[in-house]
Amino acid sequence: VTHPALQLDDVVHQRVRLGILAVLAEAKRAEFGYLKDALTLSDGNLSRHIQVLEEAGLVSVEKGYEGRRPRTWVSATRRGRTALDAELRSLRELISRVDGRP
Amino acid sequence: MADADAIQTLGEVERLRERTRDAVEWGWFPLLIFGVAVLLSAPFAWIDDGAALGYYWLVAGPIGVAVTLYAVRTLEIRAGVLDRHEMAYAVVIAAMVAGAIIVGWTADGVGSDVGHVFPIGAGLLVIAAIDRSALAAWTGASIIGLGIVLLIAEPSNADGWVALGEGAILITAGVVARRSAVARGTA
Repeated sequence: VTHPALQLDDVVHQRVRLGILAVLAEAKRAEFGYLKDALTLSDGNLSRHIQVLEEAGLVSVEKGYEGRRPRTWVSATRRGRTALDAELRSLRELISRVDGRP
Repeated sequence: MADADAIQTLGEVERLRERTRDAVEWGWFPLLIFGVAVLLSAPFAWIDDGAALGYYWLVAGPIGVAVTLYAVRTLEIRAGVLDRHEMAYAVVIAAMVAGAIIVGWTADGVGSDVGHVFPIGAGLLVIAAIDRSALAAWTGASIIGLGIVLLIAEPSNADGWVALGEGAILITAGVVARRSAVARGTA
Protein backbone atom coordinates (compact mmCIF):
# COMPACT_ATOMS: atom_id res chain seq x y z
CA VAL A 1 0.00 0.00 0.00
CA THR A 2 1.41 3.40 -1.01
CA HIS A 3 1.84 5.91 1.78
CA PRO A 4 -0.64 8.81 1.23
CA ALA A 5 2.24 11.34 1.30
CA LEU A 6 3.64 9.67 -1.85
CA GLN A 7 0.28 10.10 -3.60
CA LEU A 8 0.50 13.91 -3.35
CA ASP A 9 1.05 15.46 -6.79
CA ASP A 10 3.80 18.11 -6.73
CA VAL A 11 2.02 20.24 -9.36
CA VAL A 12 -1.24 20.31 -7.38
CA HIS A 13 0.16 20.17 -3.87
CA GLN A 14 2.03 23.50 -4.05
CA ARG A 15 0.10 25.91 -1.76
CA VAL A 16 -0.79 28.59 -4.34
CA ARG A 17 -1.72 26.11 -7.08
CA LEU A 18 -3.89 24.17 -4.65
CA GLY A 19 -5.58 27.48 -3.76
CA ILE A 20 -6.22 28.28 -7.44
CA LEU A 21 -7.81 24.86 -7.97
CA ALA A 22 -9.85 25.23 -4.75
CA VAL A 23 -11.35 28.51 -6.00
CA LEU A 24 -11.99 27.12 -9.48
CA ALA A 25 -13.67 24.00 -8.04
CA GLU A 26 -16.57 26.22 -6.91
CA ALA A 27 -16.81 28.37 -10.04
CA LYS A 28 -17.56 27.90 -13.71
CA ARG A 29 -14.67 30.31 -14.25
CA ALA A 30 -12.89 33.03 -12.30
CA GLU A 31 -11.26 36.22 -13.48
CA PHE A 32 -7.53 36.80 -12.96
CA GLY A 33 -8.27 39.75 -10.62
CA TYR A 34 -10.58 37.65 -8.44
CA LEU A 35 -7.91 34.95 -8.05
CA LYS A 36 -5.26 37.57 -7.30
CA ASP A 37 -7.43 39.09 -4.59
CA ALA A 38 -8.57 35.76 -3.08
CA LEU A 39 -5.04 34.40 -2.91
CA THR A 40 -3.31 37.76 -2.15
CA LEU A 41 -0.72 37.33 -4.90
CA SER A 42 1.14 39.63 -7.26
CA ASP A 43 0.32 39.55 -11.00
CA GLY A 44 3.61 37.85 -11.87
CA ASN A 45 3.38 35.22 -9.17
CA LEU A 46 -0.21 34.28 -10.08
CA SER A 47 0.63 34.19 -13.81
CA ARG A 48 3.51 31.78 -13.21
CA HIS A 49 1.36 29.37 -11.20
CA ILE A 50 -1.51 29.52 -13.71
CA GLN A 51 0.99 28.74 -16.47
CA VAL A 52 2.22 25.65 -14.58
CA LEU A 53 -1.36 24.45 -14.12
CA GLU A 54 -2.23 25.18 -17.75
CA GLU A 55 0.81 23.26 -19.01
CA ALA A 56 -0.26 20.31 -16.86
CA GLY A 57 -3.75 20.47 -18.44
CA LEU A 58 -5.40 21.26 -15.09
CA VAL A 59 -6.81 24.69 -16.00
CA SER A 60 -7.75 26.47 -19.20
CA VAL A 61 -7.24 30.18 -19.81
CA GLU A 62 -9.43 32.41 -21.94
CA LYS A 63 -8.48 36.00 -22.71
CA GLY A 64 -11.04 38.53 -23.85
CA TYR A 65 -12.36 42.03 -23.45
CA GLU A 66 -15.18 43.53 -21.43
CA GLY A 67 -15.72 46.80 -23.24
CA ARG A 68 -12.19 48.11 -23.64
CA ARG A 69 -10.91 46.34 -20.55
CA PRO A 70 -8.88 43.17 -21.13
CA ARG A 71 -9.92 40.28 -18.90
CA THR A 72 -8.43 36.85 -18.36
CA TRP A 73 -10.77 34.07 -17.27
CA VAL A 74 -9.47 30.82 -15.79
CA SER A 75 -11.43 27.61 -15.37
CA ALA A 76 -10.59 24.16 -14.02
CA THR A 77 -10.56 21.35 -16.56
CA ARG A 78 -12.15 18.00 -15.74
CA ARG A 79 -8.60 16.74 -15.10
CA GLY A 80 -8.00 19.67 -12.74
CA ARG A 81 -11.13 18.90 -10.70
CA THR A 82 -10.16 15.21 -10.51
CA ALA A 83 -6.61 16.14 -9.44
CA LEU A 84 -7.95 18.40 -6.68
CA ASP A 85 -10.28 15.66 -5.41
CA ALA A 86 -7.37 13.17 -5.39
CA GLU A 87 -5.16 15.66 -3.53
CA LEU A 88 -7.80 16.32 -0.86
CA ARG A 89 -8.41 12.58 -0.49
CA SER A 90 -4.68 11.98 0.05
CA LEU A 91 -4.48 14.78 2.61
CA ARG A 92 -7.44 13.39 4.57
CA GLU A 93 -5.92 9.90 4.41
CA LEU A 94 -2.63 11.28 5.69
CA ILE A 95 -4.36 12.97 8.62
CA SER A 96 -6.35 9.86 9.58
CA ARG A 97 -3.17 7.73 9.34
CA VAL A 98 -1.25 10.07 11.66
CA ASP A 99 -4.23 10.18 14.03
CA GLY A 100 -4.37 6.39 13.98
CA ARG A 101 -7.87 6.35 12.53
CA PRO A 102 -8.68 3.77 9.83
CA MET B 1 4.23 16.17 5.39
CA ALA B 2 3.27 16.81 9.03
CA ASP B 3 -0.26 16.20 10.26
CA ALA B 4 -0.60 19.86 11.29
CA ASP B 5 0.41 21.01 7.77
CA ALA B 6 -2.19 18.74 6.18
CA ILE B 7 -4.90 20.03 8.54
CA GLN B 8 -3.90 23.63 7.85
CA THR B 9 -3.87 23.02 4.08
CA LEU B 10 -7.33 21.43 4.15
CA GLY B 11 -8.62 24.32 6.26
CA GLU B 12 -7.23 26.85 3.79
CA VAL B 13 -8.78 24.97 0.83
CA GLU B 14 -12.18 24.91 2.56
CA ARG B 15 -11.92 28.65 3.38
CA LEU B 16 -11.23 29.48 -0.29
CA ARG B 17 -14.07 27.26 -1.49
CA GLU B 18 -16.48 28.86 0.96
CA ARG B 19 -15.38 32.36 -0.05
CA THR B 20 -16.00 31.49 -3.72
CA ARG B 21 -19.42 29.98 -2.97
CA ASP B 22 -20.31 33.23 -1.17
CA ALA B 23 -19.05 35.30 -4.12
CA VAL B 24 -21.39 33.54 -6.58
CA GLU B 25 -24.40 33.71 -4.24
CA TRP B 26 -26.79 36.08 -6.04
CA GLY B 27 -29.96 34.22 -5.02
CA TRP B 28 -31.31 37.30 -3.26
CA PHE B 29 -31.94 38.96 -6.63
CA PRO B 30 -34.48 36.48 -8.08
CA LEU B 31 -36.04 36.05 -4.62
CA LEU B 32 -36.76 39.80 -4.43
CA ILE B 33 -37.80 40.17 -8.10
CA PHE B 34 -40.19 37.21 -8.02
CA GLY B 35 -41.36 38.05 -4.49
CA VAL B 36 -42.47 41.48 -5.72
CA ALA B 37 -43.95 39.97 -8.92
CA VAL B 38 -45.96 37.42 -6.89
CA LEU B 39 -47.22 40.13 -4.49
CA LEU B 40 -48.24 42.34 -7.41
CA SER B 41 -50.23 39.42 -8.84
CA ALA B 42 -52.56 39.40 -5.78
CA PRO B 43 -55.02 42.01 -7.15
CA PHE B 44 -55.34 40.02 -10.38
CA ALA B 45 -56.07 36.91 -8.32
CA TRP B 46 -58.93 38.73 -6.58
CA ILE B 47 -60.49 39.82 -9.89
CA ASP B 48 -63.16 37.20 -10.47
CA ASP B 49 -61.79 36.21 -13.85
CA GLY B 50 -59.29 33.36 -14.08
CA ALA B 51 -57.80 34.80 -17.28
CA ALA B 52 -56.53 38.02 -15.61
CA LEU B 53 -53.93 36.19 -13.51
CA GLY B 54 -52.88 34.14 -16.55
CA TYR B 55 -52.32 37.28 -18.63
CA TYR B 56 -50.40 38.88 -15.76
CA TRP B 57 -47.94 35.97 -15.58
CA LEU B 58 -47.68 35.81 -19.37
CA VAL B 59 -46.12 39.30 -19.17
CA ALA B 60 -44.49 39.33 -15.70
CA GLY B 61 -42.90 35.85 -15.97
CA PRO B 62 -40.69 36.44 -19.04
CA ILE B 63 -39.82 39.98 -17.84
CA GLY B 64 -38.78 38.61 -14.42
CA VAL B 65 -36.63 35.90 -16.01
CA ALA B 66 -34.98 38.33 -18.46
CA VAL B 67 -34.22 40.93 -15.76
CA THR B 68 -32.85 38.24 -13.43
CA LEU B 69 -30.60 36.70 -16.09
CA TYR B 70 -29.24 40.08 -17.15
CA ALA B 71 -28.70 41.36 -13.59
CA VAL B 72 -27.11 38.18 -12.23
CA ARG B 73 -24.75 37.88 -15.21
CA THR B 74 -23.75 41.56 -14.82
CA LEU B 75 -23.13 41.09 -11.08
CA GLU B 76 -21.10 37.92 -11.72
CA ILE B 77 -18.89 39.59 -14.33
CA ARG B 78 -18.35 42.56 -12.04
CA ALA B 79 -17.36 40.21 -9.18
CA GLY B 80 -15.06 38.26 -11.53
CA VAL B 81 -16.44 34.84 -10.74
CA LEU B 82 -19.18 32.85 -12.49
CA ASP B 83 -21.43 30.24 -10.84
CA ARG B 84 -20.77 26.68 -12.01
CA HIS B 85 -24.34 25.52 -11.33
CA GLU B 86 -26.13 27.66 -13.91
CA MET B 87 -27.20 24.65 -16.03
CA ALA B 88 -28.55 22.87 -12.94
CA TYR B 89 -30.52 26.01 -11.97
CA ALA B 90 -31.96 26.28 -15.50
CA VAL B 91 -33.16 22.64 -15.39
CA VAL B 92 -34.68 23.03 -11.90
CA ILE B 93 -36.41 26.32 -12.77
CA ALA B 94 -37.80 24.87 -16.03
CA ALA B 95 -39.13 21.89 -14.02
CA MET B 96 -40.69 24.28 -11.44
CA VAL B 97 -42.47 26.29 -14.15
CA ALA B 98 -43.63 23.17 -16.04
CA GLY B 99 -44.80 21.55 -12.79
CA ALA B 100 -46.71 24.67 -11.73
CA ILE B 101 -48.45 24.92 -15.13
CA ILE B 102 -49.36 21.19 -15.21
CA VAL B 103 -50.72 21.24 -11.64
CA GLY B 104 -52.70 24.41 -12.38
CA TRP B 105 -54.30 22.75 -15.42
CA THR B 106 -55.00 19.34 -13.94
CA ALA B 107 -55.99 20.01 -10.30
CA ASP B 108 -59.59 20.69 -9.26
CA GLY B 109 -61.15 23.12 -6.77
CA VAL B 110 -58.78 24.76 -4.28
CA GLY B 111 -56.01 22.51 -5.61
CA SER B 112 -56.06 24.38 -8.95
CA ASP B 113 -55.42 27.68 -7.10
CA VAL B 114 -52.90 26.36 -4.57
CA GLY B 115 -51.32 23.27 -6.15
CA HIS B 116 -48.68 25.18 -8.14
CA VAL B 117 -46.83 26.10 -4.92
CA PHE B 118 -45.73 22.46 -4.42
CA PRO B 119 -43.48 22.19 -7.50
CA ILE B 120 -42.14 25.69 -6.70
CA GLY B 121 -41.38 24.74 -3.08
CA ALA B 122 -39.87 21.41 -4.16
CA GLY B 123 -37.69 23.19 -6.73
CA LEU B 124 -36.41 25.54 -4.03
CA LEU B 125 -35.52 22.52 -1.88
CA VAL B 126 -33.49 21.10 -4.79
CA ILE B 127 -31.73 24.47 -5.19
CA ALA B 128 -31.07 24.45 -1.43
CA ALA B 129 -29.34 21.08 -1.81
CA ILE B 130 -27.25 22.33 -4.77
CA ASP B 131 -26.25 25.53 -2.95
CA ARG B 132 -26.05 23.96 0.53
CA SER B 133 -28.32 26.85 1.53
CA ALA B 134 -30.38 26.71 4.73
CA LEU B 135 -32.24 29.86 3.63
CA ALA B 136 -33.36 28.30 0.32
CA ALA B 137 -34.46 25.20 2.26
CA TRP B 138 -36.47 27.39 4.67
CA THR B 139 -38.06 29.22 1.71
CA GLY B 140 -39.03 25.99 -0.07
CA ALA B 141 -40.39 24.40 3.12
CA SER B 142 -42.35 27.56 4.02
CA ILE B 143 -43.98 27.70 0.57
CA ILE B 144 -44.94 24.01 0.80
CA GLY B 145 -46.28 24.64 4.32
CA LEU B 146 -48.33 27.57 3.03
CA GLY B 147 -49.80 25.31 0.33
CA ILE B 148 -50.75 22.62 2.85
CA VAL B 149 -52.42 25.16 5.19
CA LEU B 150 -54.45 26.66 2.33
CA LEU B 151 -55.46 23.22 1.02
CA ILE B 152 -56.79 22.34 4.47
CA ALA B 153 -58.41 25.74 5.17
CA GLU B 154 -59.95 26.03 1.67
CA PRO B 155 -60.48 29.82 1.88
CA SER B 156 -62.38 31.66 -0.83
CA ASN B 157 -59.97 33.38 -3.24
CA ALA B 158 -57.25 30.88 -2.34
CA ASP B 159 -55.07 32.08 -5.23
CA GLY B 160 -55.09 35.59 -3.74
CA TRP B 161 -53.93 34.24 -0.37
CA VAL B 162 -51.25 32.19 -2.15
CA ALA B 163 -49.99 35.35 -3.85
CA LEU B 164 -49.82 37.28 -0.55
CA GLY B 165 -48.24 34.43 1.42
CA GLU B 166 -45.79 33.29 -1.25
CA GLY B 167 -44.80 36.88 -2.08
CA ALA B 168 -44.14 37.63 1.61
CA ILE B 169 -42.03 34.46 2.01
CA LEU B 170 -39.94 35.19 -1.11
CA ILE B 171 -39.37 38.85 -0.19
CA THR B 172 -38.43 37.94 3.40
CA ALA B 173 -35.91 35.35 2.11
CA GLY B 174 -34.57 37.86 -0.44
CA VAL B 175 -34.07 40.55 2.20
CA VAL B 176 -32.31 38.10 4.56
CA ALA B 177 -30.07 36.82 1.73
CA ARG B 178 -29.25 40.34 0.58
CA ARG B 179 -28.38 41.49 4.12
CA SER B 180 -26.18 38.45 4.57
CA ALA B 181 -24.40 39.17 1.26
CA VAL B 182 -23.87 42.81 2.28
CA ALA B 183 -22.45 41.67 5.64
CA ARG B 184 -20.01 39.36 3.81
CA GLY B 185 -19.10 42.16 1.41
CA THR B 186 -20.19 40.18 -1.66
CA ALA B 187 -23.40 42.09 -2.61
